[in-house]
Amino acid sequence: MTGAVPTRSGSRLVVVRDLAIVGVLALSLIVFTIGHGPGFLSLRNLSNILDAAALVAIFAVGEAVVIMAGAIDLSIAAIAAASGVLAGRLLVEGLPSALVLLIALLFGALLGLVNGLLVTALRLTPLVATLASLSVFSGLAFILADGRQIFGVVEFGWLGQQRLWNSITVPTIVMIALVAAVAIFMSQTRWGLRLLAVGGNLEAARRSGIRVTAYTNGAFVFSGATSALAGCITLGFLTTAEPASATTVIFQAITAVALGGVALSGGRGSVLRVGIGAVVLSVIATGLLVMAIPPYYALVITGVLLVLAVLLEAVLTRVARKTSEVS
Amino acid sequence: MTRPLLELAGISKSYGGLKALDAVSASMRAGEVVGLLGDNGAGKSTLLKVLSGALVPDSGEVRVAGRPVHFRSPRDAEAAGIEMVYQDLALVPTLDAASNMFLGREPVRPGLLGRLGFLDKRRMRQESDRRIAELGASRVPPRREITLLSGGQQQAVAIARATGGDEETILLLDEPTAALGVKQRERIMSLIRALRDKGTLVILITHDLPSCFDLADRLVVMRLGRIVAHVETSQTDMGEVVGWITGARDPLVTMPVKEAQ
Repeated sequence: MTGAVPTRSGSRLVVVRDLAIVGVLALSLIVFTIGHGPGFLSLRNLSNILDAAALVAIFAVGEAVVIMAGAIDLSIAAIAAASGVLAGRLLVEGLPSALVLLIALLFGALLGLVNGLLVTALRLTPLVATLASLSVFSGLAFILADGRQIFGVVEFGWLGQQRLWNSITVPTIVMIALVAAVAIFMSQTRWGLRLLAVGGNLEAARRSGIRVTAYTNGAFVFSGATSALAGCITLGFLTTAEPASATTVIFQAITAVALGGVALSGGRGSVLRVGIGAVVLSVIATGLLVMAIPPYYALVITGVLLVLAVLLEAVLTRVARKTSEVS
Repeated sequence: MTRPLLELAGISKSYGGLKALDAVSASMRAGEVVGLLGDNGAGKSTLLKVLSGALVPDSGEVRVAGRPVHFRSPRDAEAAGIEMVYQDLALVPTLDAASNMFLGREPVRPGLLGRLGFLDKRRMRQESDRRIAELGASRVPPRREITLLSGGQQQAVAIARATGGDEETILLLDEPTAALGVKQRERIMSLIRALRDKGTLVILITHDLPSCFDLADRLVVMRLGRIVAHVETSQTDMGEVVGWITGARDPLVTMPVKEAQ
């Protein structure tokens, strides 16, 4: 009896913690709507916001899975660049674009497997392993491109630029489908649960008979494939295969992951909220743009938001733990 | 007299020149709590590892219900009905209680969804509640993350996980009352008694002598890789036991022991 009340408020705090990102999204939409006017909430602007969020979200979903599995992947932008260049060359050769997309995704998955094996077979820490592969894959992208950009690759236009029903773009649809599928996989299936267990307590997972290396490798392979997908979408809207990696992508992706409440130490997180985190970043960038505020303010706001998000999470978790210890 | 559930016959294990286990023999019955005592390095942990399948002994034989068993992994030991609850609990702190209880053997939904790996979460929560209730522990919210549970609740989840199967089990508990408050310790102790009354053989490894005297029907004291005392708890006292642990008293084995062939 004595424990009932604090226990329930402990649960409520966890709910607050888990829904905070939705509040941040609503708040940022409200602030910019007041600042810019109701045009901010127009269908066109909202679809632009989602389109701008798509790339970061696709990177972030792969990164989130790796982080939930207790690792980290620094090489996502390099995998995207290498896969994009490979796709560009194959498209120039005249291969059908659907086949090229498939080959590029498999190539990205293969590079991800290299990351996984560096961690599981050679026992490197994920940070060191993917720092090294970041360098190798970045160089690989230039090697595949003979050191220069490939211009005029228009065959992926359907993937990077196409707008459906005059509003929603293909990258947005890809983002929504990917976030939904991975969110269901992670939260509803035994494989998702086991992946979280590997990230939360490797030894406990192993003692439970889970083949932990398969899950670590699988997470890196998935991250490689999503990075390749992002690389192909980038190629689609730039129509240029660019061997230079987009170096800031990793920071945006990890920021979206952290904003989504994924524990960077692994074992906990929701892919759905990571998707919302990516949209929040896009709302802020777009909002500052339409209000003619210089974009570097977005960097400052994003950083502050990240600190607040992580602080809120830590404080609420601590309070929730304290209240449940009372019971 | 019931036949022994667990028999150890001449179990030895050396690391280099060091004999961690030196011809250890003992037999234990279902439905009793056996306290395994000894100083650090006495061989308790090595013996536990042998029993839980984490370590293959150099020589000797383990028999469960009369049948010789040869464990190569913890899975083998589990298959023979031996479950180990580690001191560090071996729970995943970021997952909820129900998930932890079923980790590695999760129930899936019937039909196509099940083949796709979809969890039967409702069954996991109901089973979780049922098992905790069976242990006589107070309710653990099945959706609550392990980090948000008290030490006693975490211990209850770990034990419920280990005793999930309904077969006759041998439960190895490593320091189950360490780092627990007085009230929580009481709960875990009554939980262990409940398991014993269900017919489980509970082997309790602890430094907590008072708890051990409270709970254990018999005591096995180890020193330098050998069993130096194997006695009914009622026929000894803490002073004697401390003497055996430190080596100040001569060995005494009053229980019948089947020697290695």
